[in-house]
Amino acid sequence: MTVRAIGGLAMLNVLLAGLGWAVLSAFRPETTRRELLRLAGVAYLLGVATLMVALTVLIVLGIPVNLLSTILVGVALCAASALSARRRHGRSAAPASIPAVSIWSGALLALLAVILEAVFRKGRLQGLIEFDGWDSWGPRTKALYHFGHLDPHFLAGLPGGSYPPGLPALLATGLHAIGSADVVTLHLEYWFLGAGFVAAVFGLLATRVRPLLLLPFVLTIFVLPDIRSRSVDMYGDLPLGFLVATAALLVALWLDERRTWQLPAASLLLAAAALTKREGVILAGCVVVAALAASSGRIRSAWPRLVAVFLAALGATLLWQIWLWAHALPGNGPSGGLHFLTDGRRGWDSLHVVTNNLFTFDLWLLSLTIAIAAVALCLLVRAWRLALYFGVLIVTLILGSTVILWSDPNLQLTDVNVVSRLVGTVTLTVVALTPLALQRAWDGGERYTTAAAPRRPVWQVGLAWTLVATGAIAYPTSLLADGGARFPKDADCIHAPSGEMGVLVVLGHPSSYGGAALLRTRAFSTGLGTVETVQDGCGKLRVSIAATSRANGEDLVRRARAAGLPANLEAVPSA
Amino acid sequence: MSPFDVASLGSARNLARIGVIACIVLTLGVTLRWLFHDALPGQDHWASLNSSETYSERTFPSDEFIGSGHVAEDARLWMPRSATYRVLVGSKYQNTPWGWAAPNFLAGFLFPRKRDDADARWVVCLGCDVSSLGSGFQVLSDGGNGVVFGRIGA
Repeated sequence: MTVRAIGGLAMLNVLLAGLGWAVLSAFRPETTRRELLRLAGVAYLLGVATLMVALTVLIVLGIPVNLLSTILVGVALCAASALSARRRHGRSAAPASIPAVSIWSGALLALLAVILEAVFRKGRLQGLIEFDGWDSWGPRTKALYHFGHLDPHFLAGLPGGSYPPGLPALLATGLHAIGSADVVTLHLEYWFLGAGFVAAVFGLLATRVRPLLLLPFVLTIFVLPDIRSRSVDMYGDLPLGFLVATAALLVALWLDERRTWQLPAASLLLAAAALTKREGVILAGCVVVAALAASSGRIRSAWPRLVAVFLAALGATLLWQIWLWAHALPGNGPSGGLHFLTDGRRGWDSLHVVTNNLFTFDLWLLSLTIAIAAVALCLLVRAWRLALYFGVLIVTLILGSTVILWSDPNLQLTDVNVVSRLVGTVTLTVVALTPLALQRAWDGGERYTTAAAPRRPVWQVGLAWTLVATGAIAYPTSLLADGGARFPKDADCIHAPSGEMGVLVVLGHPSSYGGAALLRTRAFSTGLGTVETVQDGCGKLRVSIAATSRANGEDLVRRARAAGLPANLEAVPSA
Repeated sequence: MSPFDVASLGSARNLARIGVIACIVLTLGVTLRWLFHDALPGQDHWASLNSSETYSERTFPSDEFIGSGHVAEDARLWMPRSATYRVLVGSKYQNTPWGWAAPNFLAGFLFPRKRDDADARWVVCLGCDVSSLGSGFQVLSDGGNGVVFGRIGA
């Protein structure tokens, strides 16, 4: 909960982006510096995915996941990626330049900066009060942080104990970066993931979609009421959604452009998705099935590569499954195997609930409706491949979500919260793909390139970026004017005596009853009076002696200090 | 964006463009409305609430789920980091959150201390029968709701 903790977490995420840049360069050796800047969000998510996969491999191999092993793995992966990039192609460096945005785009980017800052502000001091957070994700994260491995006995008693360890491993690395088991500040890791996703969608589409078609959708991500409310909650659903949606977008681009780096990048993201939550592999399957359908005209060249994408996710799932089998823990699949298929009624109800939820305006605004309209518009201009991919993807993701709900009898169909968390991935995916589909419809099925974008006068570009900077600065400035950010500290539980308030002679705020007992013994031997030990409300104890008046308190303080006790006068805390 | 050719308004391409404009206008309108009406005030509300919370409010979920935040905190402050502890749940509470949720919270909260229901001398009792722990059990913290923490032996 300190600036240092936030700084440590920020540093980790910068390093993750660095790792991702190395991986992206290995996949895409011709990447220029300008492109690396544009694809910073993709690079960051690739860095996250790489670390999640690598740490899961360590866990499965029984190698402790600690700060040292994480650093070594990160350095090794960076070196291997850089070497691979260098071998495959010499990079042509180009100077980075500022994109020529219009004033309208500048205004939307300014709003995007404000909403991201607002989410950051919310996450900074969020307690670990989300049920699944303290019941499952938090304990697994802390176990990895403290011990570097997951004890099978510990997992056996935990809800979702068979869930893959990718996200807890990432979060445990976050705790190492923070420097303590500060699960409050750790919520900001979700902000970094969300900001990375926004940057990834923006970066992937910035050269393929006009800003005015793209930015409303990028802005809408953290405005969607259900994403807004869960933006930094310690669940696996949003990270899963970010990974699947980015992978689905990369696959959509590959279907059209066939760039060699797009499928390996999607594979890595889907492997990480499979290591985030057990349903990740099903959602990866949904993406691949849609891509297979959209490339049915080129089975020989496309299908093996797409199947390989799914195999990456399946391999990641199996990797963890092997660990579960080896430790005699229940598998990752539905508890009753395929028995759920006999309950057709629940299957139908699940489909109904999922569909109903996705069209609930108060949760997802118009995202799915607009996505379906975008598919229809693509069909109208005969952009068959994208329309087919996007349309089938919507259907498979709905069916996939239905199967996930159907197969787990513990999930209540009436629990809107559970269903919303589940279908969040569907929504994030359609929000990421809709601008691409709308651009294609606008261009009559042709592919848009930035060469067609109008050149803007320098004053316009300058004004647009001034707007962005103003938006980014205005929000924190207004908060500073209101008194600035508060950082909770131990001193919050030390109350200075004032006026008529009762006073205490406080001998210290030790961090254990053992330390309190030592103070007590010393006070007893000095004959200062009855010593009381209570929780001080800031995670420590208050060892004190009651004073009848301020003068009596000051006298006791003098006597205590004379006996070598670090006594101070404090006000009796209000109840 | 290039202007329409009004004469060919009925062409597929222009119909598509009308559709795209409708989609963008709708999305932008709804997004801006919800940004100012819901998202920003919502984040602000939660940020202020999170900022004003005390250590306890930020650390402990409701006692209904975890038994007693006060007792859990005492357990953390009493036990050395290398200690092991037991969690005993009374039969009456086995199928309540004290039975299926509180032990998980305690596991996460009390790390690096480990749970060992067989041999540990530190005990967190959630509605359990304290007398079954024998006369050597010393209560160190009592939540007043059947949740106690203590130690077996000196």
